[in-house]
Amino acid sequence: MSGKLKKALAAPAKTLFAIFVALVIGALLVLPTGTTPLEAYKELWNGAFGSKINILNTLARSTPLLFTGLAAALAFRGGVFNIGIEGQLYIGAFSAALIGIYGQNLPPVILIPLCILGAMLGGLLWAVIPGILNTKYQINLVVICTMMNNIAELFTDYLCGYPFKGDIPTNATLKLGENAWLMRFDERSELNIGFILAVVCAVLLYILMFKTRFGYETRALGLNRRFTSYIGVNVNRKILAVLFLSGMIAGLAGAEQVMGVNHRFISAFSSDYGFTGITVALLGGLNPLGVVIGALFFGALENGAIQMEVMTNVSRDLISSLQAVIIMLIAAEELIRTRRGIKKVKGAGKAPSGRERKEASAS
Amino acid sequence: MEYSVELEGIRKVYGPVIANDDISIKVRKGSVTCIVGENGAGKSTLMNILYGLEQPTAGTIRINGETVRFSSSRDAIKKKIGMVHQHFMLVNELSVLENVIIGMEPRKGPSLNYKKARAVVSELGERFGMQVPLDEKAGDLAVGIQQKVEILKILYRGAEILIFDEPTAVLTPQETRELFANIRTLTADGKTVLLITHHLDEVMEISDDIVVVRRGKVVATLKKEETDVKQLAFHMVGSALPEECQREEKQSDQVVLAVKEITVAGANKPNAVNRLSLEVHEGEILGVAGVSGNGQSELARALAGLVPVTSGSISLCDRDITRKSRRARLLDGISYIPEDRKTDGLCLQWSIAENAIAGYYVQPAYSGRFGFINRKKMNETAERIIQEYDVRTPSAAVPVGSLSGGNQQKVVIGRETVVDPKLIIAAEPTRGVDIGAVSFIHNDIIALRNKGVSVLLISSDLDEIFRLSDRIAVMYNGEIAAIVDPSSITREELGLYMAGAKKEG
Ligand SMILES: Nc1ncnc2c1ncn2[C@@H]1O[C@H](COP(=O)(O)OP(=O)(O)OP(=O)(O)O)[C@@H](O)[C@H]1O
Ligand SMILES: [Mg+2]
Repeated sequence: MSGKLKKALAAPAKTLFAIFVALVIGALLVLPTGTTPLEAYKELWNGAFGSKINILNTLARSTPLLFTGLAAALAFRGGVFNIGIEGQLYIGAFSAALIGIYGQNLPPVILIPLCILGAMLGGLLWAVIPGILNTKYQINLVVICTMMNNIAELFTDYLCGYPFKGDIPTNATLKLGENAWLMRFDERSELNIGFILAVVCAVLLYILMFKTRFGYETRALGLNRRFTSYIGVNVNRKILAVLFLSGMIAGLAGAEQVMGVNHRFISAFSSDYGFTGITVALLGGLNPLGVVIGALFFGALENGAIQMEVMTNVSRDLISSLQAVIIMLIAAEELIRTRRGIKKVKGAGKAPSGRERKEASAS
Repeated sequence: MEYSVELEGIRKVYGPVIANDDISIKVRKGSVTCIVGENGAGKSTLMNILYGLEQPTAGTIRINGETVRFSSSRDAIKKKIGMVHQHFMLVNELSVLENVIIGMEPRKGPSLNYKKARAVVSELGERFGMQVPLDEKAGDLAVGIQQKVEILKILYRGAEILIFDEPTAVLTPQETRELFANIRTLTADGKTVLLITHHLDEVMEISDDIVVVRRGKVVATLKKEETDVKQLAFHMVGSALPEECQREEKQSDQVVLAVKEITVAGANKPNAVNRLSLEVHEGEILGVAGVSGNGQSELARALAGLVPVTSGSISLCDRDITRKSRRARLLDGISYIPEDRKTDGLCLQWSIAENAIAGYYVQPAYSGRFGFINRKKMNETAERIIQEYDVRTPSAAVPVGSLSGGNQQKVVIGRETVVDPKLIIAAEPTRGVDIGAVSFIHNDIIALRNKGVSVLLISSDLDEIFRLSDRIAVMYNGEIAAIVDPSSITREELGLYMAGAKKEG
């Protein structure tokens, strides 16, 4: 039992270790500014968790990263390099906005699920094109996804700048009907029920990945495609399924921002959530539970950095440096792992033969 | 006496597993030393240590009398040691030439001197009788050719001490003879060869000295002249081999697998299998013999449902399955033991347990409602395979990739036979497994046959073909050159069919 628990916690533990190392390196970066690292981190901590409101804001900032992190974790586990999360997020967000605007007379119990569903379909739609091009015509997924990201951002900018332009000077749609708003926990924070949805998603995704057939196949796909077809999986169809599901989760990230935070679609609102989500996923060891920790960490950094910048002379850019350090740590770990192959495996106990064990258990 | 390699008191411990336990070996310059022993005895580990891939927990290595410490294979290569691995280390996407010269490319200014590289490599190939298509992608080649590329690669790096980890496991008898001829040329040249094999007749043919390893220890060091196959086998296993399972006389006219005029495309051949027809009866072992690369792999993959046929039909127990998916066939009772266990048959990073249900995880026993995998059943099956097939492992939870080659194969065979199949397609089922396990697997296959299971045995090992087959189909150039009765044909005759020099009808 405790072995099981240990295994479930192994990935998060690695995540925490990477975070720890990043913070140590960050401390070195702070030194030259004249502020002591302790001071900087104290303000960072206070900014992130110092009061109830700060905590809520940290969670609010984590929410989109949690969704995009999950989208990336799923796809990357399956070896499907969905770099298009950013674009899927935009299309998902816009779909949710349209439904929220035009369906505002519907009661919340219908409208909210409708918006969420619409966002998922939007994200999915934006994953279909790269998926087909990749599996049918072997076009590099990363390349198409990158293009799809640009198209999504520009296209939604056009949509909310012209046909669906709202009542404010910037390019943005009208406000969603209040029936489509996600409930907030405190009027001073943007944190909304979308966060709970994201955590539920993480748990569900964890179960999906490690307990089900779908997850079994996805993990096989990510490790060895020949083996995957050997076990009877249609590899192309599986790639599509993983990509589509990932796109749908990316769409959720957009829905939460539109329905819970901005209450309208604002052009280019995403501050690279799609890309940071990939870092979050890698930091979380492509494990949905690790992703929760990774997203909270990034949310805390971003939120805490505001106060740190005000109170000390450490710039908010420290956060970007920390993110870069984490990416390098992850890359280094990957490198070491591939160099050693799978040689260093844990748990190789004494190796009795099967027959010996049978004899032992028989006696 | 001049020794090229002296290993003294080598010990290697993986956690609580003692892979090498105080091993001492002396290898004379210009000789061939064979290392033999059961699966998991520690042969590969020892060779990896000599090649600098693994660092010994204790012990010393001397090369030409000089004590050395290798922290990586780079150091070993500097001391002119080369190794051909049990599993190839080629870059599939690169051409053969690029694979050979990789990391040591001759340069002309800033760019690669392909012309020179080509000249050097083809000269090497000629000198040692290993002609390979230099411009083809390594990944497209048959395993036999890939191995030659590996050998060229180490020769190109100037190796004087060559380590071969089960080189013959992938070769046909003909290719093995060629390899041995090459090895003799090498030793005549003063090079020293260390070679691992499970085929004792090969040991008797090629070796000068023989080292027998059991459970990490050297149990015997012998001169070839002073020993024989029987004695070697006894040293290896520590007891006599199990009794041979006898084939029951049983005639059934029931056709289980009927293949009609199928054509299958290969990597660079539209008809790697060319309008081939065959039938396998109930409780029959049909051996498919042939020089590797004559369409056997494509045939196996097509029957298993991994590649489509371009024409013709396949039926199982009178039901047409030509268009059925791999999964449907698997659930219909077609088991497939693939020749490439590392890439096809196993997911090396996964545990034995997860591998134990590969393919079969869709059965209701393993995946219940909502697609949840029943881990308890999965572990039970894994335990069953480990016990029935005597897999040497600390537990079912270790990654399959940490097992020795032979034990990995036992996992695959166990998985494919515990499911009560109607038909087993067994491609090179005993490649790389020790003599004890070979006789175990052979007995298992015969027992299955006696139970009425049909077996399509694809093997380049003629001993295996003769030992197991009820009928032998010889494959040549994508076609069946002949179907013969093993009791009424000589090896020489079979060889003629295999070489395409003779054809039935
Ligand atoms: N990286 C590793 N981690 C844990 N155990 C290992 C590792 N490598 C090898 N072993 C164990 O060490 C033992 C010796 O393995 P090795 O690969 O040397 O056997 P071998 O004699 O080459 O067998 P085979 O004939 O099957 O190839 C085995 O019990 C194996 O499981
Ligand atoms: Mg070995």
